[in-house]
Amino acid sequence: MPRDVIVVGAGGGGPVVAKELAARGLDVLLLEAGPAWQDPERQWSHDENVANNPATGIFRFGPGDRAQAPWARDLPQNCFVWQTAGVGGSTLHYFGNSPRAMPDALADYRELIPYYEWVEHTLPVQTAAMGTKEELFLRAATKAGLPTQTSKDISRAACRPQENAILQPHGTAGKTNKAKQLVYPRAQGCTFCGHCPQGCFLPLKAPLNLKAKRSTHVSYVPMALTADRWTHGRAATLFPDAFAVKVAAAGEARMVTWRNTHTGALTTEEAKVVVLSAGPIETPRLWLNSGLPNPDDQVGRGLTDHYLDFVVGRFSHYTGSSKGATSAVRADFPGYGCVEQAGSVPGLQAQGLTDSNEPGRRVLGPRLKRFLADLDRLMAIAVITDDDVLPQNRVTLSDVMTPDAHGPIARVELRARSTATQSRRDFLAARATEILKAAGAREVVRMDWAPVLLHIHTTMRMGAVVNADCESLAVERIFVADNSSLPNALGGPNPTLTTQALATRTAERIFVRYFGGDSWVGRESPVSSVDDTVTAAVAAAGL
Amino acid sequence: MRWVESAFAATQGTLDALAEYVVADAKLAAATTPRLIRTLDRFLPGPQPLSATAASILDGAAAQVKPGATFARLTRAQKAQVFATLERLPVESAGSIRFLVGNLQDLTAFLAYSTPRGRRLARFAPGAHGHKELKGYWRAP
Repeated sequence: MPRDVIVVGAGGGGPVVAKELAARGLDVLLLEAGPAWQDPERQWSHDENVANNPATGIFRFGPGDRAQAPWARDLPQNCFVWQTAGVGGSTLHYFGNSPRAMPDALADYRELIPYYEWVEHTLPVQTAAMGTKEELFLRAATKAGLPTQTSKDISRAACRPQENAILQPHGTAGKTNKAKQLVYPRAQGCTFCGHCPQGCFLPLKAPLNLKAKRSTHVSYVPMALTADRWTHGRAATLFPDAFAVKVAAAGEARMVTWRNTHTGALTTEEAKVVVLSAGPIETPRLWLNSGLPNPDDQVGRGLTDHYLDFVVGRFSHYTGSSKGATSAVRADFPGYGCVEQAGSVPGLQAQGLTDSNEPGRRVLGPRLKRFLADLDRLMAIAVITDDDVLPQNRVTLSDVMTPDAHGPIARVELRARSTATQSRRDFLAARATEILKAAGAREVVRMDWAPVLLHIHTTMRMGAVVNADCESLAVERIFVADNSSLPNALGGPNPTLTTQALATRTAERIFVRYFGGDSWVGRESPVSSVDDTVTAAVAAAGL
Repeated sequence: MRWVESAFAATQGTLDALAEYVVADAKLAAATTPRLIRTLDRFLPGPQPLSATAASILDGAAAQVKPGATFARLTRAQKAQVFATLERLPVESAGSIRFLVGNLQDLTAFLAYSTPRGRRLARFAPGAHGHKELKGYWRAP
């Protein structure tokens, strides 16, 4: 019997489709190339090298067996790709920032609002609490002339606490340094540990769905796997360590072939609908490796990455840079993009200070030592640029590097930036510098980062490769539900929430079009992933 | 097998010099180099040691900056010149070198400040499960 739906990829987008359709009673198979995490409290670590080393770290892009090398990419320029394989994908290391897109960036923004609201309730997304670094940033931004944005919809240049997919602190969380007091249920929500990029396994002893940071690993995936318990759905099936290598179409049947990364065994299953959610590098790679139609050579083209930059201030007083959610405050500048505070742990801070497009800008040697003489006297701001789609920035198949066990590998080329993108980035870096100076920084450096591919989008672009429902223009019954289907860089805001809202809409469209069902967003109330019914379902399922 | 030991020692010497150049702290550099070699050698599938490739590139460029010299024997300014030279190679013909060299310094810095000594230098207490840092919620002035 064919499945109803196969979802390829359990990162930021795929689990949203899986959960929504499992809740409707469909037979959903969720494939993930990386590992499942049985016991994050024991498996994960706050040690940066253990967690984030790009070759050997828990959150590298590679197979679950860390004795093996990570999966290779052909990257023919100075750049750094920061992606994670495993259930939860890059939401494992993300900061949980969940702003909506700039309203002018999406033609159907008003129509998308109910889907935003659905996701915001499900994750849930909550207004970030303040620590020292957050108050310092917002006071300085106010001093620099920015008003406070008080709605989720961005209406003007303004600063605000982040809307984060992080549970607000309750009980002892945020109120003590003592480990023994920071155990669930005494501590609930964010404990201000400062380790968002190392994965969030806190508070200790909290049920899986009540961990502070709302990666899909603790929100959408558990809901998908227990859809028969918290609602009248059907539990989705999850296969980790399953690297999809081919998608095929024959009549109305869609087939997915995957390779078990432990045994090397190939398996093929049939489904009525396939949803590609392998991320903006692997989704076009899978498409191209599958030999699916690419009539206008648009698959993989137009990669955007927010052309991130980094501005760092050094202070003579305490900033609390290493404590609390990694990014809990931001300022948005319609027409340009955004800036957001990026607190950090020492390794990542050092990495950020030594990366640049320009050799002379890197902070090295005695100067690096001076900057890092006290992590909690720094304040870093990430610049997130509204970058233009350019066709020469693209994902193709490498003809230089040797194919791996999953076929020809992806080549990621970043060849150009528009003049407008460069100008927006300069504008935002200048605003970040103003905020740092208004906060009292003694010394400010702008890094002019080489491309750091953290927010990667638009390689299977809406309008070019998929339609407004995120269904392929070339092959019906194949959908895309990850950042690659975004039509543009959203005006600058972090992409995950918008991708998740679109994935919710895509799930609805799949259900209506191919399974004869009714839509639900706007007609029903969403169930939060922290609802007692979900907690009970997670416990009953032994997750 | 003396040549193998000699080749490894040369690689280690060059990458030691790189770490010292990046972090300006001999003890921190010494703690970093083994991690750097391990990370580079595990980065690609197959047996080729990327650490040796990286060291060869740095030493090759060093000889261009100062004939007969290795990277480790250059002054700080000359080391900067090595990177300036390598980072200006044309992407079209030397993209992979640009990727490797472009990431060497920030990878070294990441690894250095992830060591216990790096964390101590940054006055960072590792492993905390939480901090007494909650101030409340922002109220617009």
